[in-house]
Amino acid sequence: MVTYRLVGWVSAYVFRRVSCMSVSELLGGSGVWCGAALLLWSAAFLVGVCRRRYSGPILPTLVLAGNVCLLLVAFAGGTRTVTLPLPWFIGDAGFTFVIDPLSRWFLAIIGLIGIPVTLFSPGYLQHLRQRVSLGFVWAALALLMTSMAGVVLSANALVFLVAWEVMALSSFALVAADHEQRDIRRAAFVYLGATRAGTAFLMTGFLWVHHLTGSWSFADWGLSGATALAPALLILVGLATKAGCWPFHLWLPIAHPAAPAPVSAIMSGVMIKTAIYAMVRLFIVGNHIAVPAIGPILLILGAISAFWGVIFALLQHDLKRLLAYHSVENIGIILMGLGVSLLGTRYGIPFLAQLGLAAALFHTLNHAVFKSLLFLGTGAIDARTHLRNVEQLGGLIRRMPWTAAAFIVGSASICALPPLNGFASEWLLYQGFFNIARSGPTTGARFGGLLLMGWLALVGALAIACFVKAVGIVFLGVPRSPQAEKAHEAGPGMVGAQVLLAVLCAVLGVGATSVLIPLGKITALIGDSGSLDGVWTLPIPLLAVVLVLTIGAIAAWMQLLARTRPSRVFITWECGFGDLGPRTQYTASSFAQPIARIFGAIYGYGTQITVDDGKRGHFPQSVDAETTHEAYLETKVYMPFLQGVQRVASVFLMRLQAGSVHQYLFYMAVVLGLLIWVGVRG
Amino acid sequence: MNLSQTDLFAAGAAVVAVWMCGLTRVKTQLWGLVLQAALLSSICARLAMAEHYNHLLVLASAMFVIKAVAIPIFLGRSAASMGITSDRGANVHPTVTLIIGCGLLVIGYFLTPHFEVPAMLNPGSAGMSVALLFIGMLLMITRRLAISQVIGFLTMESGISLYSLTQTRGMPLLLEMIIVFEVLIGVLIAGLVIFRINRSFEHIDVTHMRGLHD
Repeated sequence: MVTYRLVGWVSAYVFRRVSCMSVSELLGGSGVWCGAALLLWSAAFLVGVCRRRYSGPILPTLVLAGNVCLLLVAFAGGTRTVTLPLPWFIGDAGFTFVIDPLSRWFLAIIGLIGIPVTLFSPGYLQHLRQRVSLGFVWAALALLMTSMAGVVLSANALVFLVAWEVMALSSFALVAADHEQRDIRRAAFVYLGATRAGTAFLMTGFLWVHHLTGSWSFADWGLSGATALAPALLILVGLATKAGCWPFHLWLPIAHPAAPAPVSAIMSGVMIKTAIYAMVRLFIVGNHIAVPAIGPILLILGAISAFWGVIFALLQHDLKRLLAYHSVENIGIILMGLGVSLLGTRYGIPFLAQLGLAAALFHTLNHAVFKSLLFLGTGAIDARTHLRNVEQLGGLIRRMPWTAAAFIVGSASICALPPLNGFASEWLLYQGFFNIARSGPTTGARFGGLLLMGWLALVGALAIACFVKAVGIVFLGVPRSPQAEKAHEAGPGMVGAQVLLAVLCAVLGVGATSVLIPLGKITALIGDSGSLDGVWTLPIPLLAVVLVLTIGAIAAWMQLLARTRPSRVFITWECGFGDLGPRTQYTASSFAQPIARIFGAIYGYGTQITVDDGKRGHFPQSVDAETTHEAYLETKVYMPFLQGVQRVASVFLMRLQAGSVHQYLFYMAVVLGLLIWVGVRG
Repeated sequence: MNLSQTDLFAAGAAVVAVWMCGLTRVKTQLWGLVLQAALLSSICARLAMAEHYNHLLVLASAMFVIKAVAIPIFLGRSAASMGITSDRGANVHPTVTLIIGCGLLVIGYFLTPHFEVPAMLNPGSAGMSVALLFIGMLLMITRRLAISQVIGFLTMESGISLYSLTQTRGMPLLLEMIIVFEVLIGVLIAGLVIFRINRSFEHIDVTHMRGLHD
């Protein structure tokens, strides 16, 4: 009862505040729907916090309705700035929000992913009910969605930072939702540490820019020249940490597997994209921080991330960890798009700048769709089998056909196979590279363009290898464990959410030309409008039809062949082992081995084979094969650094913080003295 | 040197604070507080009469009632109920503290006129109030018992209110009153906390609280 009364009070208060604002400021759509989403999510938050054990339909409905409101904002037109009335104030900046094509694009991503995730969650969370308080998860989810919307709507740095921090904290709470397991606690702390470090860089950069421009508003942050370099780099490091770009991706493969699947879908699909939004807002569109060095830096970091993510993904056996490394890869691809855009500006080719931006933003949306689809699929498998290790799964295509179909569609799109959406955006990026290769100002740039085309193709090929492994081992063959054998299809909500996203994958791929319309509005912010119209040179729908017809023709031909020849049924020869059980199937490790060997030097890949009772020649007692690899970035760079910090802390900090009240008072006295000294010096 | 009556009273308050540095008996220190507060409220009253600010008279009486009467009586009673009579100092002997206090008074006096403050009205009193601030800090750092920390805090607070009184010609009455009442509430809470510390640990010696740090 208290809960509902509280919700009533808060909504009445917010409504009163909002209704104080002048009507013309708010009406006209966007503002009202934003306010509605905020109200719905706040209500969900309050109910969730007060009713920790709640598992009924109200919370999902509230969160879902919030997402629908957000989509309505995203699809409304026009650009407007909304400043909340006086009591809403931080420091010397007001609560100002801006709704323009760019922020609407990201609002659309939040809404589009938020809806299936909300549909999926009630069914999924059932199997965690014993360990996780559901109300709490919904409350944190509502807070996360609110803060993500806040990040992409904020018009000044202070509001941005507040939303950014709320986003970090609520996602931390979600990662730590199942905190009774030690691994998950550790993962949550790694995530918290990474996000704190990122925010520290970001905040320093923001303060610096504020010092240079004297304003908190992003609209006034037009900087260029040598003075802008240092703050721009600080901001870039802060954002790259959140985005999970190499070499700041450390937290990503640790935190994503620890979170519940819908949360991973939101975090990997949407949350890390807020950093991309900030990069576009600060470095590319409007009155921006123009530093020529950022373009090549983004291009190089993106190229390394893309490659790094995919080769590490190949080695992973935990499905969610594999997907998390693929997020590193795809963030790399997106950053390459942003890099192309900045290079286009630098070379004075506006079309190239627009093309790169469009590729990056389109891939942001596409990655959100297929990555959340894949995470939800993993969640469905996890909910039914309680397994995430691919080596223990298998044969799920018969037991979970809908999940399998959706997962395969998602895999095909992440591998950028036409006609799905992954291909559409990477096609734009290829065109960007081709443009550099054709019309770059220097030989080096032209050569670099060619090289990057090859690089992206390499990454794509490796991704295909990785997903052939994932799909083949998880869905084909026979089950490798009793849990996988007993699996059955997920509930209607979970399947519905996946099918929705799979359909979205296809629609965004086939209808890519229509997606270019809203993208054109964003790219018009940095150049002429309409210059992207001719970019779509591939007739994707036609290709899709041709593809379907070709597959059908091949199938028909095979049928014909089979009919003309009599078929014979034999048992499979088992090489004399006498056992054709699940263990004789291909394993994920052996599938990945040939490729892993090629890049072995990068992660110290090794295989250890121990033969028991080798004297029996070809008939040993048992053979064990184990593969090992080491992530040098973690073991050789981050760990020594963290240990150093810890050592300094144990020697220095312990003495500084010794528990003596007098000592603490003395610090205050010293600070007071310092302040007065500063005051005297003027 | 031309010392106004205000400056004289302010200097008196600072000297009382220095005197408190050398004391060990809690009861005598409380008398020191009473003297400080009385001097402060008379400064307030004098300002009220000189400038015809009637609201300052209200403030002066509130200051006197709360800071010179209510708080010392409350602290004296709680000290008596806990059986505390004296505080022999933590790291530094009270005599040494007295000497340091004298030094701080001098520093405050000579330092303050160099402050980059718009329209410093009364450099002499400003120096005294900064000295009071420092001495309050000193009292807090060098005393052993939690109740002495409250006394040190009140001395600091006197410094701050002296500064605001003499340098700004009085803030709005409401603000000043709020501050005075807040100090009262703060001391009441501190008294409660000290009482609970005494009940839990059977002493209120903060140097022994180091053991709480793991």
